[in-house]
Amino acid sequence: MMEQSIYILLSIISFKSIIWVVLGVTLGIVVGAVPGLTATMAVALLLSVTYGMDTSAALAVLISVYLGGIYGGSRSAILLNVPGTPSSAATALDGFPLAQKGEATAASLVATIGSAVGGLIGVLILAVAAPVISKGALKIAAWEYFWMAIFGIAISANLSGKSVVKGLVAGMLGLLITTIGLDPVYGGLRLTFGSRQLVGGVSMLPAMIGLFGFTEAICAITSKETTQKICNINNKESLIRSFVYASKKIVKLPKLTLISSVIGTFIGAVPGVGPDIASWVAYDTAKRKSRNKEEFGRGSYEGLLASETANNAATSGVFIPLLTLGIPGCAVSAVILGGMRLHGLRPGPTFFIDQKQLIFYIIGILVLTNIFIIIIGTMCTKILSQVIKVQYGIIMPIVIVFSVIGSYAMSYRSFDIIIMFVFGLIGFCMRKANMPVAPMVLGLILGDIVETNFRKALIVNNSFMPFFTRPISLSIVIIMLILFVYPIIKQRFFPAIKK
Amino acid sequence: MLVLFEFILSFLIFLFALLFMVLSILIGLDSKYDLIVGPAVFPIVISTIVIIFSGFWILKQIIKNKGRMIKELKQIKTNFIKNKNFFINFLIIVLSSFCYILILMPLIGFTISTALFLFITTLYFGKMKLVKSIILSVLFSYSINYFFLHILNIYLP
Repeated sequence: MMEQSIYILLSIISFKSIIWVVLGVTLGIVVGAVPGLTATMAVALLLSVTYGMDTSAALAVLISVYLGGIYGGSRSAILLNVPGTPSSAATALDGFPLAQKGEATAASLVATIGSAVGGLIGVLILAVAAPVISKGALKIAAWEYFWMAIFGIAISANLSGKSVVKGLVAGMLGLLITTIGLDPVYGGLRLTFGSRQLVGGVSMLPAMIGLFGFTEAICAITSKETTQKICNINNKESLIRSFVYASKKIVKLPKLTLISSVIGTFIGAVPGVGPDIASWVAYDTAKRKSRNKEEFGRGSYEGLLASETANNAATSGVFIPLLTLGIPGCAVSAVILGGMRLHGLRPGPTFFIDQKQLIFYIIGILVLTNIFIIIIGTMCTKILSQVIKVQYGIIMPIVIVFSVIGSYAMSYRSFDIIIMFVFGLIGFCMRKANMPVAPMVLGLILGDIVETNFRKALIVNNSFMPFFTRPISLSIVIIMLILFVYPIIKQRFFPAIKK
Repeated sequence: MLVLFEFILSFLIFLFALLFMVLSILIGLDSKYDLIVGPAVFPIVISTIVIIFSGFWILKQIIKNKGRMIKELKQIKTNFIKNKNFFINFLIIVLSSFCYILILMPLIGFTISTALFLFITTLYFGKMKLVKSIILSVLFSYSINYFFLHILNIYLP
């Protein structure tokens, strides 16, 4: 055991791992900081690059880009009032007013340290909770698996857009698309429309690259904004002095940091929710508990810290369902799950028994990434204000080229590029109709799990009843019903509460 | 324009699900498969759900936004002129991507087609100078090709 631990520790702090993490974090921060480029897009595009790498290096790159990307979103939120990633939307509320007051450097550093602290607390919770959940997950059967996957899609549909119906249509459409090609139980052909290219189904990764990469590029190019007005950083300000100032701010707020981290981790652990919601919930909790409520929205360090701590804590939380159940917590973790599958890894309840070393490695990489977020994030404070000035008209055609490479490189099929193109257009239409893309991606990723478990369950009983009568299944169904019906009842019968 | 567009999209999704449902029922009728646990059951269930939700979406729009839809339909020409830049940019990026992916790449290969695509798009959307645009597109496409082919051992189309 001791020898094993030393071996894993050495592999984490090896020169190779550190190099990949440094590159990943830097790339993630840059991508997250540039409005229009998201962490999800970067991870999706990088899948092709990491395909040729060994598993540990690929995981190090994907995880560090993801974490770096979520953190990087705070930079444009603070300097431009434009969240670089959706999870930084709450950060902009207080980050930008602080930058306008001339405290851009301090605000950026509070976000940096807060993100890393949140991430590290999240990793601690992951390390404690995941083995326990994994043991419990061994008792879960096909009925419960089916409902948990549906739960993830449904919650994502409920939270990622203004309209629940549109979210549900998107999620179910994702599931419907996965039915094209070989039937996973009998192996017969279905719904291929006579195309030989569709025999293997719609390739999941090119579809995701299209939905995130190509869609984003078209949206940015057709938008009115081509460059952003930036709140400049004072270059004469000493970085070390600002770092000490920001650290003192955080040390004064230990309870807020801890509560936001715990909220972020647990919300991240709910399948289908992710960092976007975590930051809002933590922000709202911080505002309700604060003695200086009136400062929120006008440049409050408490609001900034709550939002940034929670969204990075959630990046650790999403690994709880991903590693223990094989169910992604959000769109980015769905893409990471796709990457893990490419390397022959099948996360799930037995993953903690079969791949113990890899689990330790992932936890170690998460710790290492959070440490490098502090180092690189602090060092890049002044450079990043220049990077985010980049023009959409130059960066987006390059994103399209990477989307083409990413979708082709996985299996060397030109048809996959066409899939990427078509899904890019579908994603664009969905955006224009205010239809969320995340539920569709979760549907595409979870389609296989949902159908296989649905039919396995039917083969055992030849009846739909156990889906509603088994205790855990029934509990999930009741929770889903409450989550969907409660807002409607509240809106209809108790409008005063809404106000 | 957006209300009308949303209506058309919801209707297309409805038709798409309906098509899947019909095709799945045809698979289900095939005697070699069990109807309850066969390959048709899952697509039938999911397409039914999509039909119900998209139908609800369509109805909601008809009830809520009927007036706006009719107004948008009447002003379609004015709206088109008003959002001319959006449509032109959309057409250019989609058409250039289409030509790049489906026509140029199979004909002249990745490197030259990428250079051409980048040249046109950065010149038009990035408003770059001609020489700068040529240098960027050629350098970028060749270095990407080199990076993937010689460093990552990944072949490009």
